Formats: sequence, structure tokens, C-alpha cells
Amino acid sequence: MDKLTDSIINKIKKEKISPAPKWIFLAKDYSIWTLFIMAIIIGGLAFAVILFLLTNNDWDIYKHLDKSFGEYLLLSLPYFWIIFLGLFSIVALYNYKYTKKGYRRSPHLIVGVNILASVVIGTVFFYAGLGLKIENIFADNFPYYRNFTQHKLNVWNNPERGLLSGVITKADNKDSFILKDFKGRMWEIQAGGAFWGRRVIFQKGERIKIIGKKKSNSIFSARQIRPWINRGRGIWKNSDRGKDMLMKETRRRRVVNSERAQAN
Amino acid sequence: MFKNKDCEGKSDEELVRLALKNQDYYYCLVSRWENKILRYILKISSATKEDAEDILQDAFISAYKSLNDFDRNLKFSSWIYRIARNKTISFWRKSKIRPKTVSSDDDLELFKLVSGDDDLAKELEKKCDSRQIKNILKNLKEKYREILILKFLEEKSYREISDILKKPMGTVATLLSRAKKKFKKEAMKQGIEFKNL
Repeated sequence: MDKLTDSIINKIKKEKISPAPKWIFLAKDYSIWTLFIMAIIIGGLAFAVILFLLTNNDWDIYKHLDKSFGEYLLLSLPYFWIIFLGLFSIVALYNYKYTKKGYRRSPHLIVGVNILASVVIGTVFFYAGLGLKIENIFADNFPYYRNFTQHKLNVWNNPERGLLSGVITKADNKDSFILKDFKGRMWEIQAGGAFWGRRVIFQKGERIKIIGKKKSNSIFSARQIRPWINRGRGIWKNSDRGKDMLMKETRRRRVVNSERAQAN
Repeated sequence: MFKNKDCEGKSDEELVRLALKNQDYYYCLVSRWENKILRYILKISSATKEDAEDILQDAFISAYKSLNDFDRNLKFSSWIYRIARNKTISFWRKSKIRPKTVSSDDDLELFKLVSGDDDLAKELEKKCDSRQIKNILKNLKEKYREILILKFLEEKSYREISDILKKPMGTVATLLSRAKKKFKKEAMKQGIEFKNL
């Protein structure tokens, strides 16, 4: 027997070294794969919110804000979620590289496939309404997140520039109804001849966005009426129109205002 | 007592399966690969022969402990080279010394193989001495030196190098091509002309 081989085998025997059980390696492999799949699913959720925010952004109103389309685009991009998606793509790449044959694939390919998977899963999530749900959960529970999402509320609380949003509080007559904006002010909306968006339902509690002209401190003349949430309500389609969600929006606005007041 | 003839005619992968049931079969794997792995450790490290033997022992014992993790789709040789390489890197880190260049005999061999032309290699042998070759290799980055050793001295295929270094095959090909260019460039810097460069 070779001297070196002998010493290795003797050491194994003397120290009673034995192969680690298979289940330890299997558990490690499964953990890595589970984390990889979770990273893709979380990436998918991030993409669902990106899609929700982008499809619900009103890309044609930049002129009301005296901005170019480029400026408006830069203001509207959901950076928080784009970073989130990027972050979890890196987590997925890191996990995949630690799978048994993960090193055989190019990192670019892994990131590409991972983002593609997140896009496909995210699109499904978006149509199921998860984009809206997650956005609401974050906005309700993470004060810091609200700073990222104030853009839409700020844009649509500009009666001087012809942009107004809020909740319909009295819906007797489609040509003239009462709206409570997200700051809590009451408006009489004159909507005779206004264009109503396809997804708007004229009913009490409906959240809407209005393009038009401020006539006085309590009267607003509407030219176009759009739903607050255009796409991506998914399975929460009905509950979203309900009072709970509307209350939440108003409460969220109140919290933001009180935080701002405290900060000042 | 386990005999050499018990190892004959059995593939490495078969021996891994048998070693999991009967420890003695691991002897076959160790005896089959110890010399090659020891030489490889010496080529890529600054270890003394005694240190290299310790690294080798450590590598084979680690491999034995992880035998249940061995991927049957992989060659055992690639797996044990990978473990030995990782153990050698740990040794560099622990001892805080950089890897040295390959031994003098290997220098010449590597030089001939990288030049890829027998006549040219002979001409080069006449033109430069072992010290110059050593200098060329010393000035190459570790990643280039390592891949040249695996390709030309250990005669590993791209797939095997990919499995040992845990890098995609495309990266291995790119790295090897760069390593050859760097090798020739460094040689030219030292006044050795490559006509076919």
C-alpha cells in the first residue's frame, strides 16, 4: 500500500470519519432552490406592483403640470419597486450560483431568465390584483414607503391646474354631483357633457380623477372623468370599490398630512 | 487486507458508490488520484512537499466526508481537483503567501504547449532559459497561470476545467484565450519574439 494513501485511509479509520448523511446535502440543495424560487416570486410581486403603477399612471397629463414628457416620465417611474426587482434578481442569481450546476450557466443568462420569469409571474399576479393589494399593504404599513407614492396624490390634487381627485359622496345626478377630495374638501362637480371613462361607475363611494377647470373654491367643472384605479384590481375588483378601501385612502391621506404637520 | 486488484476494472464513479457501502473501496480512489493531485497542488501553490501532502490529505478526507454529495454526472477527477484547489486556496489564505510559479520542468513543458508549434517551441528553448520562462509565468495573473496549468499540464477538457473552477464553459474559453495572449505578450516583453503571434 502506498505510504500517503495508507496515512489517509488510516486517519479515516482511526478517527472513525464517515460520510455525512445524504439528507444533509439534500436539505442544503432544497434550501437553495427554495430561496431561488422565493426570490423569483418576490421579484414577480415587485413586477406586479410596477405594472400596476405604470398602467394606472396617466401619461397624458404632463401638459397640465407644465412639464415635458421626459420630466413626467422620470417623476412617475416606480423606482422603489424597480430597485426591489433588481435586488431580488441578484438574490436569485446568488442562490442559483450555489446550486450544484449553477456555475455552468452564464450570470447574464441567469439574470435574464430570472427577470423574464419575474415578468411572467408578475403579469399573472397583476391581473389577479396582487399589484394593487401589495401597494396598499405597503402604503398602509410603512410610513417611509408613502414618501415614494405621494406623486399620484400630489398630481391629482391640483384644482388650480385642472386636476382633481376624490370620492363621490353624493351621486344623484350624473351632471352635478358632490365629491370629497383626498384633503377632505367638498366640491360640487359640474359634469354636464363630460367624458366618462369606461371603467368609472357612477355611485357613492367611487374614487375618481377629474380633468377640468376650477370655477370657485367649491365648484369644479369636469371635462374628463377617470377611475382612480384603472387596471389591475383583479379579484379585489368589488371590494376595492367598497367603502373600506375608500376609507383607507382617506385615512392614509390623513396620516400623511398629520406626519407632515408634525414634521413642520 | 484490501488489495489493488479489487480496484481494477472499476470506474471512479462506481468506486464512489462502493465506498459509500464499504470504506475500503475509498483506498482505490485515493491511490488512483493521489500522485496527480499532489503534483497539481505543488504546481499551483507555494507549498513545500510536506505542506502539499497535508493539503492532499485534507482534500481526500473532505471528499470522503462529502461523498454523499458527489454528483454522479460529474467526473470524480473534476470533483477531487476542485476540492484540492479550494484547499490550496485556503492554504494560501492561512499562510498569507501568494502562489509561486510552476516548477522548472513544467515551465518548459508549459511554454512549449502554449506556443503550440513544435519548431517554434524548439527555437524558443534555444533562445531562452528556464529563469526567463519562470519570469514570464511569474508575471502572469494567477487566474491565467491556473488555467494554463489545467489545460496544458493537466490536459483537462473545457468541460472539466469548467467543473473544477466552477465557471461557465464560455468563460473558460475566453479566459484561456486571454491567458495564451498574455503569455505570449509577456514573453515578447522579455525579448522573446513570436513570429506567429
